[in-house]
Amino acid sequence: MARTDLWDRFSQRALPVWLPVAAVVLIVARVISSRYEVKSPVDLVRWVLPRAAEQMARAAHKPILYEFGAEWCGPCHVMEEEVFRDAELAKMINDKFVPVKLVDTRRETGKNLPEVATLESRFGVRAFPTVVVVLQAEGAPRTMVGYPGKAEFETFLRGIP
Amino acid sequence: MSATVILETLRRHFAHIAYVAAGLLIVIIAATMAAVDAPAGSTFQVFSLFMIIAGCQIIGPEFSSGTLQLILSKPIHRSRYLLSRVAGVVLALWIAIALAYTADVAARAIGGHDIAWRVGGGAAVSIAAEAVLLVSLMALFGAFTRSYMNVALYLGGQILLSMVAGVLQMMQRMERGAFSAFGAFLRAHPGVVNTIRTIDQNLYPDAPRIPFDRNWLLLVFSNAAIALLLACVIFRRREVPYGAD
Amino acid sequence: MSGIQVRALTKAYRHLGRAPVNVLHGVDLEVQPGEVVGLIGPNGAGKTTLMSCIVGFLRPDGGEVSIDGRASDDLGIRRRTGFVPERMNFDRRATGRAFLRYMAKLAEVPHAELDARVDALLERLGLANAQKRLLSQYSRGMLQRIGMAQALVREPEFLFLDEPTSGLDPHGVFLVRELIAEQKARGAAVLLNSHQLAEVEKVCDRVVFLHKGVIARAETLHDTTRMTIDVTLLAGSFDPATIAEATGLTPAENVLSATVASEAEIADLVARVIGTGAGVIDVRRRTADLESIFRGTA
Repeated sequence: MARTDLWDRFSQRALPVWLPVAAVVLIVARVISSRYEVKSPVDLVRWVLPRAAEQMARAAHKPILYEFGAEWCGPCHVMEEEVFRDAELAKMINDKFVPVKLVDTRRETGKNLPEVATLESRFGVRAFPTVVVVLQAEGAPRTMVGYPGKAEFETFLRGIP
Repeated sequence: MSATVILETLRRHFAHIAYVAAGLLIVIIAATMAAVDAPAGSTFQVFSLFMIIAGCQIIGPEFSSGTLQLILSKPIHRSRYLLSRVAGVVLALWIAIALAYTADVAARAIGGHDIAWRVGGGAAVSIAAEAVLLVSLMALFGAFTRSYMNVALYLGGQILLSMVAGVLQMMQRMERGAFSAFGAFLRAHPGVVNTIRTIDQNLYPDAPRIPFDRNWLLLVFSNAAIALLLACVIFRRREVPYGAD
Repeated sequence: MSGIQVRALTKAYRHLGRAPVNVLHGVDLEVQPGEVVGLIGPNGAGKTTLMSCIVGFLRPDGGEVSIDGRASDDLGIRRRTGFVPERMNFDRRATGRAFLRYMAKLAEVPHAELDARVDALLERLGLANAQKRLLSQYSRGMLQRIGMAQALVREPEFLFLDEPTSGLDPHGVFLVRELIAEQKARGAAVLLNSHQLAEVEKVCDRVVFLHKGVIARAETLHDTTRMTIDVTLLAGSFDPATIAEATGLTPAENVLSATVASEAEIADLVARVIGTGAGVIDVRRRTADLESIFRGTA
């Protein structure tokens, strides 16, 4: 079959010119648009209650991601804005981890909820935000103190097996 | 595009009792779910099978039945015919989606529930876009297979990719046991698992988290365009012997 | 218009894991405008493959197919082509009329002429009363006739017929015969694939015998430039030597055979035979016996 009939509009086998053009335009638009993330007005991470987390993690063979924050913590809100409201990152967190959100309320009320206090003590949390990832296999938990920015945080998350 | 082929495709759907029955059923389900204030957009979860059945008729079955030879003896570009069939099926699905959404909105309004235009409308737009991708993939698979192999390829691919991605992710976390070495390899080469997941998400994307997610819509439409382009390239060279089946 | 030209056509079917199966081995064929050529041969000879290659459904491995100097899948040629498949398959939920209108639109029949053309064809093919019935309610013969109708929707100049009389009652067979004659009179080049040797003899100008992928034989059926006649003589009424002297031919038993170029020569020969005093009891123009040729070739 002659290649010249690919664009010969008189041949029954010709391709329409507009189709590859449309495909290229859409691919280029997709690439450009992906640089500008679409944000949600709400947190997209499906947070799990602390008491249910360990059982869920065992059943799903997933690590637990504990996110320790506080209302007064500015970087915590930045992290929420840039990470937890980002569709792609939130999806990755939901797929890969059992996420647990723990809010420290000592400054506001003078004390924490028991499970928050227990977990802060267990992992030695002193600053916010602190993210602790506990793997199913034995070994030290992976910890990130402070919010280093979206790219670095994503690298930290993806580096966890 | 050929308006003749598009209209004929629509006629075939509207004349088929299965399409009419399925459409009615979906409208009833939509109205019922809306009446009990189910989450906006949840109606469209029942659409997948309907879309697969609607899309399975493209090219493959026509090749086997001998219809294609009749069509290709006429002065119509092969690509134009294929794209028009796709457009006709997509339109038939969009009509069903529009009817379901209208029933949903009407039932919510009558029931005094919140209509949630953004979430419900976003879900309708998403399923409409998904219809384009699904039908395009059916056309691609039908371009080089016979009969209803396109459905088998689509569903088989979906199940296989999902299984493989899940198993590999599990193995990736293994640090002890029989597959620990393979798990270490996967941890050292996260691209393996990411590639499988990327293919899965490109062919069978999950519903977008955000209504009217621009990036998601561009992903779906660009993949549909690529599928259609490949379908046209394959179909233009395909031999269509008659009397062979 | 230069008709249908096939030169040195070869085609093999290739299947994964198996050696290619050669089906056509250098086929040459021509169908001129206003000519009806029949394609016959045993099952597996390659007739369907040959027709598929000519119509453009299959890509030949070698050789060349041209219709009026262009490729068969050229859209301009497609507009002037009609194809009748052996089995008519279409969406059974369409009515006969809807199907024909769809085919007419695909054939780019002008909108203003569409309904008139469809009505005329339905009438001609005897389907006017059944036009509103669904194709699922059509008999085999009716499907064959509507298959013929869709091929004629744009008065084609190149007509390809695959077993056009298959499943037809005698009335349908006569109708198809008439239609082929009409297309021939219009100047269309017609290629007909059929197992019905009697029909082929009646409608075709030439017959091509395909056997194991090659043209084994070609026979002109109605060549008026060269006729063979048999003059049967009354036994005992003639002297072979006298006949030979008068005509230059020797009778075999009581039949004198001659090849003549015109009907005037037939009359002249008969007059000379009668002039010798021999009794002439029959004069018959010999037609090609397709069946015996088929048996001898297959």
